[in-house]
Amino acid sequence: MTGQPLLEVDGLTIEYGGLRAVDRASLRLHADQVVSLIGPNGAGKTSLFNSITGYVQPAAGRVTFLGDDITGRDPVRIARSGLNRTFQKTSFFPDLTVWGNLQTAALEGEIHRGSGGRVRSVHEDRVQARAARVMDLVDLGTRRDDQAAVLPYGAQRRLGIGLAVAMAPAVLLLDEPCAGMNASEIQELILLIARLRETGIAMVVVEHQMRFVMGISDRVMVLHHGQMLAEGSPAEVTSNPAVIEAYLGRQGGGQ
Amino acid sequence: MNEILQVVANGLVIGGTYALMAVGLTVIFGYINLVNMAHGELYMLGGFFLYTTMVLIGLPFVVAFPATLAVAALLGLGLDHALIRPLRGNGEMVGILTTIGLSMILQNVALLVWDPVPKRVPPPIAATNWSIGSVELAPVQVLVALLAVGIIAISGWFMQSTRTGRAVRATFQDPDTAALMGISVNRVYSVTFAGGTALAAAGGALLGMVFLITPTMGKVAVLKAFTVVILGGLGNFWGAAIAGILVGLVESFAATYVSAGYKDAIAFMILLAVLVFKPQGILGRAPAVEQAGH
Amino acid sequence: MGRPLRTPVMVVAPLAIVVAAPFVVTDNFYMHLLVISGIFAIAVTGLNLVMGYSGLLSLGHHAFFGIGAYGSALAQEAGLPLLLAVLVGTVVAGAASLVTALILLRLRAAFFVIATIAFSEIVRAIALNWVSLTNGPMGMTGVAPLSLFGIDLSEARMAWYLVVAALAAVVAIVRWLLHSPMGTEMVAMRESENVARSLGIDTGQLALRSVVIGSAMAGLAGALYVHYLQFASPDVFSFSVMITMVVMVLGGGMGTLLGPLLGAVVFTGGPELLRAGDDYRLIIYGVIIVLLVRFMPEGVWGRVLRRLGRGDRPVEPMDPGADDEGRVGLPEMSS
Repeated sequence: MTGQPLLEVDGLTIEYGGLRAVDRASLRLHADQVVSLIGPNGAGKTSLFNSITGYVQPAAGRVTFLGDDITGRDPVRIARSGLNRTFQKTSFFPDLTVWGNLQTAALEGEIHRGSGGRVRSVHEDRVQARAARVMDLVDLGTRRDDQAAVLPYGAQRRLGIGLAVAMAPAVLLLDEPCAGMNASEIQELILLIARLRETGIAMVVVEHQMRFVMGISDRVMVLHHGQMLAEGSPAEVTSNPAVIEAYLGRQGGGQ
Repeated sequence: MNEILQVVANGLVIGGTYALMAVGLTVIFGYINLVNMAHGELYMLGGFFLYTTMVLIGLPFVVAFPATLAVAALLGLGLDHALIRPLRGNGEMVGILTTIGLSMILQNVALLVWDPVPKRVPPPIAATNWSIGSVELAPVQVLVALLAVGIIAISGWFMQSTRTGRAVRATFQDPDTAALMGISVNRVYSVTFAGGTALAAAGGALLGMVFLITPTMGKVAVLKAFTVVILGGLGNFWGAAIAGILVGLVESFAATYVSAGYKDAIAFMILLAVLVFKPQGILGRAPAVEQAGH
Repeated sequence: MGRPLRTPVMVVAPLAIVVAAPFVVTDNFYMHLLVISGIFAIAVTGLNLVMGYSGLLSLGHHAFFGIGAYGSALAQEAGLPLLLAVLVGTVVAGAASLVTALILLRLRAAFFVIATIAFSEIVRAIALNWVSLTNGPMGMTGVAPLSLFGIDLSEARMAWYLVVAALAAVVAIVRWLLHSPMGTEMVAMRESENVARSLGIDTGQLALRSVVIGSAMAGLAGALYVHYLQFASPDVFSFSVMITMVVMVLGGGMGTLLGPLLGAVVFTGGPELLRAGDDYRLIIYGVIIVLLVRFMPEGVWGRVLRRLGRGDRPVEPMDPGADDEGRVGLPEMSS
């Protein structure tokens, strides 16, 4: 918990036409950490992600990444700077093969993270190597030539994460990575998160699945009606009466 | 002064037909999210259906006009079933391309059936003009305006107060939840498309009573209708009605005082200006579209 | 594996056909159709770049064809030598598309499509009404014929070589783009704009570049067209020209390099040989569009490639093992 946080969100407020979706949310993510963001549907979790990554302009507040104020910056620039994300729905190119998907991401990774944005100094073999490395990491080697759209759900989720990982992120935001997964797929995903962590990627994860959240998180934050309700270690949060009342009590510990 | 009032009267009549067409289009575009490029041809067909039933078959207006709307609604159901439904959920481009193909088919079949010579539907009421002050008003213009307002008002009431209308709006706001509530989403979409078709046809039929109709009139009209829909705010029923009248007036003034040759171009420049500077329309989006936009 | 063997065949065979064509096709009318096909092939290669590879449905493509035609005719009338006039037509079309795209590309998908049609109708109204510049509905007669370094190319069999050379250049440019990072990024943008942006792809820039390059190609085609026919007609701005180009791209195979060329030949020659009147032609085009979108969105060439087992994977230009051609489905435009 020492040193400058990688990602710092301070008093972030998001409004849609007068409706306040997120109300003065704050978050700190340090190197090597995994922080989970939980809360009932409509609590503003995805809005918070969209705002951090530049897709939605916040009404107030500040986002600082690696010491830079990136509030309201264009999503493309944010993505190039090493703050990457996945999407809740499709987070890959459905009509391309696994390899085609990874190559595209690896190319962008090489351009923006390996060559400082200079397209001409990108080497084809380094793109291939990067794509191959990521393919191993997300364990999709056996699916190399399959079209992404026909992959099983769990593999699609891993592919989506792989695309973001090819950008060599310092911080990775995962939006409901477990949605629709079965128990064994979730187990694989927990292992993948651990591997990503070893490579030095810090993560913020939005998720409902409590077993997953408990398995990966250093800290858990609870968002309720757009406000931060509680924050602490997984054990602290699950025993917090306000959280039980607002979320766990009604949803019975996830889906 | 005299002339200005005449221009206003013309603008109101043509604006009324645009309003009808646009109300149909805003429902199809805003609610089913189908960019219906064939909407202009449905408008054109309305004119020719009325022409056929009145002139070629010889039915009186009170029978021919409702028959025109009924045939148009049936056509809408058929088109939805055969062409639109199978494409649902495949993205906007697929719908755009398909309805462009459809518009080509309808327009050119109409050219073969009714030939390119412009037609006029005989006015169903007395031809002697009424003079109000110094303005000459043809009774048929008044009839057209009244019918346009009446049909829009009935449709608006239908959308707001009937069970079907509420189902349409609920489906628009959240198709998944609507399906869970036992609403048949496919049926709602069919009804919406058929209703939109009937409204377009009504616009074309009324236009044919005042101005000339040709098989190719739909092409420019559809762009006008999109102008109106976007001006009025996507999915905004009353917005489309008001904006329709507005565009009719602007066009009438432009044709008289600027240049008849550029009158369409002026309408399209308004369209581009609105799209670029005020994409939410001057009258605002329907509230639910605002939320769906995120 | 078969690549080193295939490459010479793939270069020599088309070259032989191109050179031999005017000697084999002795009928002037057929030769004329081939030249027109070649010109449309240039225009639809540009449209394919925009629509097939970048996933942007621009229905104002014919306006840039027309701008190229009038631009070149006017430049030549003002005294520029023919080659320079053609270049002016191309550049003016590209510049016009740059301005238009800067404004229109901010719109979400459906609005972009509608706006491009509105734009083309405005251009058409100008061509019809600015009589002192364009001679209005009468069109411009007496446009200089095609020539190159003093050699008269006005006859179809001579014009053919110039048109094919221009077509080869245009196809080569598109092929080169597809093999560059821009090609990978265009396909990514078409597949999902959202995901592309999340990987740092500046889709706004990319769309702009693709529209400008594609429209300049339309402008080049228009310029060649106007000098070949020696007549500039406002008919080039009619929407049926756009429909014809869409049918060529869709029918041939959107997002394949050769499909649209095939489409250009079939849909230039077909209606003429069948002597189909305009009404029937457009009805048939309408039916073809509806059926293709529903049952064969990959087009004829796309289907052939898939049958050959070469097109089951969509274009992956950076992959040295991948082919030039690949099947792609209809792009979905995310909003």
